[in-house]
Amino acid sequence: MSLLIRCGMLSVCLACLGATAFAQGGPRTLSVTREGQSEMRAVDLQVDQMIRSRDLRVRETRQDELVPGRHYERLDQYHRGVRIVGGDVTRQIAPDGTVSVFGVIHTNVDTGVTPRLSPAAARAAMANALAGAPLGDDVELVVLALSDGYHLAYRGQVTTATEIVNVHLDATTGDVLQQFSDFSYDGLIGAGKGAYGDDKKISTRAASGTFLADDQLRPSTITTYDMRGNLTRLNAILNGLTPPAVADIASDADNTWTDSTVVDAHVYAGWYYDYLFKRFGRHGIDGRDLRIPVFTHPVRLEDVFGASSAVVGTYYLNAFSCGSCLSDRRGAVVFGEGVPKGYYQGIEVKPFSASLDVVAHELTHSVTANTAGLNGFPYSEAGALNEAFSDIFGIATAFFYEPQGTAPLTAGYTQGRDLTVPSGIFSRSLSNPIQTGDPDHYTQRLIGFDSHYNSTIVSHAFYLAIEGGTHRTSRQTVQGVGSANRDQIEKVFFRALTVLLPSSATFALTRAATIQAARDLYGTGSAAERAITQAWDAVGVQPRTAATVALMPNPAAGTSALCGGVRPSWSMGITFSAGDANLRITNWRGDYYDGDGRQLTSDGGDGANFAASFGACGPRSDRILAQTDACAAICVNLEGATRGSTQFSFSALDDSGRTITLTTPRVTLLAPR
Amino acid sequence: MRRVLLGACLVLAAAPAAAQPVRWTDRGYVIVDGAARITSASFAGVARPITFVEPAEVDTSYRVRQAPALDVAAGGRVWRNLAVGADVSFFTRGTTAAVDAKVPHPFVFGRPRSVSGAASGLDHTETTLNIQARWVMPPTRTRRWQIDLFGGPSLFVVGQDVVRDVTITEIYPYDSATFAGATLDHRSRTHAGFHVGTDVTRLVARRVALGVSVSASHARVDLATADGGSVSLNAGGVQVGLALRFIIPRKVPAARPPIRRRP
Repeated sequence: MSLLIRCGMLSVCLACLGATAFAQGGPRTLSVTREGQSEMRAVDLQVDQMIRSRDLRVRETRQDELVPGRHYERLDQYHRGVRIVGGDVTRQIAPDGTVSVFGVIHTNVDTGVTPRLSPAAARAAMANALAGAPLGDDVELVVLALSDGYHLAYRGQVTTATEIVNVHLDATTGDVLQQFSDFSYDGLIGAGKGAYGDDKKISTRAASGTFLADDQLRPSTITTYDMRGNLTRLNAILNGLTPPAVADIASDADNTWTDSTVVDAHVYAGWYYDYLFKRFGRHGIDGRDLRIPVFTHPVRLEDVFGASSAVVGTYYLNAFSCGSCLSDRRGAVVFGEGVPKGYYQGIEVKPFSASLDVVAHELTHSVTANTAGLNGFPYSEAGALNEAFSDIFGIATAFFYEPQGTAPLTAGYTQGRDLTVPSGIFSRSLSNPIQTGDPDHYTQRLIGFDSHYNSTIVSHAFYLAIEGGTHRTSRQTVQGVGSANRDQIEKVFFRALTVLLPSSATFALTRAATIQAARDLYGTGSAAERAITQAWDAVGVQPRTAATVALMPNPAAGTSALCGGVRPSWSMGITFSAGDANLRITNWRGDYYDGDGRQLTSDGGDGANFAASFGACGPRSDRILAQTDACAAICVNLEGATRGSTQFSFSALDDSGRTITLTTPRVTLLAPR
Repeated sequence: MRRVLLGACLVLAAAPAAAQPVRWTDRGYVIVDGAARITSASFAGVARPITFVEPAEVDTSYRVRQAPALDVAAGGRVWRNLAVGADVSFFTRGTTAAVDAKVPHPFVFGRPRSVSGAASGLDHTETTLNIQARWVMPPTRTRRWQIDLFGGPSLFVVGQDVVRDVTITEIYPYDSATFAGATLDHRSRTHAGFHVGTDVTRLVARRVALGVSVSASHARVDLATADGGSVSLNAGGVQVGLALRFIIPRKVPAARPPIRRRP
């Protein structure tokens, strides 16, 4: 009965087709709009009739995203119940009728619909022909239009070693009629595992039969390169001598990624972009979706044993952001390779992309380079602030995505904790900096040397503003906003970094900027303003009005060579910071005591002597401009005594001729380790 | 279904109480029945298409509403009032479906976005071959009225557009999405079932009768989906209609030629 009815409808339909543009046999294109009113009405009616006769069937209906009130439908053509590949129509419909019809319609299809092969036999034949495995549980019987006419075929998919292939197999002879890759050039999502074996989704694109770590789904293009240990080429690219090529982009054959270094770098860079957008509404590192090039595998892991210390320090045990790298001078980030377990005291160092906070740390340097700068001179408080903000937003990114904890893939206040096995070897603690050998108070600063060292004074303030607590050194108590409101403190610091701070910012200026940001965002007297103010007080950062001096606390034994072969000796750092006034040093003095507190000796000198000694963070001069620092690394020995103490004092004149005297606390020199 | 059986019982009860049933003597019949399916059917399915390397979950509730149906039956008398025949029934209806889906996030595992919407224009077809035993009861000797009871096994060929996936609109950062449409697969399956029913017709011409019919049919059909799942639906239902019966009369033996005597 149904056959009779269908035949009847089909004959009606063919009769109507006889008077139309698709009356001839074979495929005919349809391209009709309201420009041709009469033709539109005729075609619209014919499409309706074909829908009723089920020669056209709705595959999809969608609301129009761009034109409100309209929708469109996609219709597939069927021949005696079998879908015709490539026979389909789109129809755009407005409330007052059809707007357009586009498609290809086949008429007088002259093939039967009874296959000689069974679906199971067809699947096996497809897999056999392509030396692969069938994909999916089913094959579809279709009518396929080729240049030599219509074929009854099975359509299925086969996975091969390199790709997914669509196959059309003759349903009568079992011959492959057509095959083509299923890969497209759109943004794709692949899967991969990170350094800790965790499953990740990776945003890629397909090209030339492979998948590239080139994110097309985010507003900013994030491209991860695999330099395959070619350090010469990497340096040429970073230096802008040659642009990176498509062949440099990390790739994978089947979009199931096995290179965990690439997976982590690419995925975490994307997550960082998302963090900036979701938390701050910011479009990438420059706020305008600047491309983000990420470089991995700068060196080969197996080459570490023959590498120079400079190469190990830069490309194995390091990650870095370069604000002016590549030919467009807009910057890049590079993640070191890590070292194997057998390289140094049984410690395995993971690739530097293995830790979300480290990836976010490096990318925050790019944000800083595009906002406050803070990199005019790394051996300054601005340099320390640069590292502090990177640690802050590295940790904040981790808290945004990961549950709090101490295991890998959890968030905590220890920056870089997951880089090593055992964990925490190369790390900085924001919650207890002393624990990782870093200062937690402004009096412990050591300007002029590693800028990471001083960063914990600032990042500890960030921690206290969130979590609160009593400061270990100052014993001052901070009432934090609580971890549930961590976003407030993150926004305050981010606003300070990206809106308020200048490139030569000091800790004191950062104090002022963050307090202002808290007022801007949450109002004067808000919990955020209170927490931040208390936190800066606790870490000893005050408005920089008066001059201060700091001595590196509890120095460990230094190298004998520094002190003319006397053992033990201590390497020490002294930082003299001017306040509101310009200063000229007139005299300085160091006093040295044995373990019983008896003075052993003293040294020092006049302003010229000061200038000769204090050149670690600026020009060698007896003048210290307001808001700047003079720094020295000195070597101390106690004439062979293994423990004792030392203290330094300074005299200076300010611009008004007033004498200022500063003395450091007496610092214990511990027995050498 | 219960209503149909009840109707059949009432018809039986209404039959003449005479002890001797009236014999049905026709050779056979052809019935064309323009009917209406008066019951609607609801069923549900779940699809789990892989989306962003993670399975999505697409829950779809389908509803097949009332619609016209067409039956053509033919058969012949095999013993007393019993006839055996076949009936072909065709029913088609555009269906609607409510879709609730959880679509994976493109960047992270385990953070699906919920979307809901409606899909319309889904085809539902049922072509049924009914093998029929028919008990014919003319209630009076005039045979002007005729009551039939019938039933038997059925073979259903059910076609249904099933929702295979959803299309969504989403913009960065893709934390939410809105339903834009449904992607359909046409699935069909042949399955056995049964049918019962009754006709009441009245002669309007010498070999044509007109009347009403009530019937019910049923089969439970599982349609396999592309991702290995299935959609189970109840095919058939209750339909009432106008029956047009064409009577095939019994053969009347040819009259013998008169015997001529020799003069």
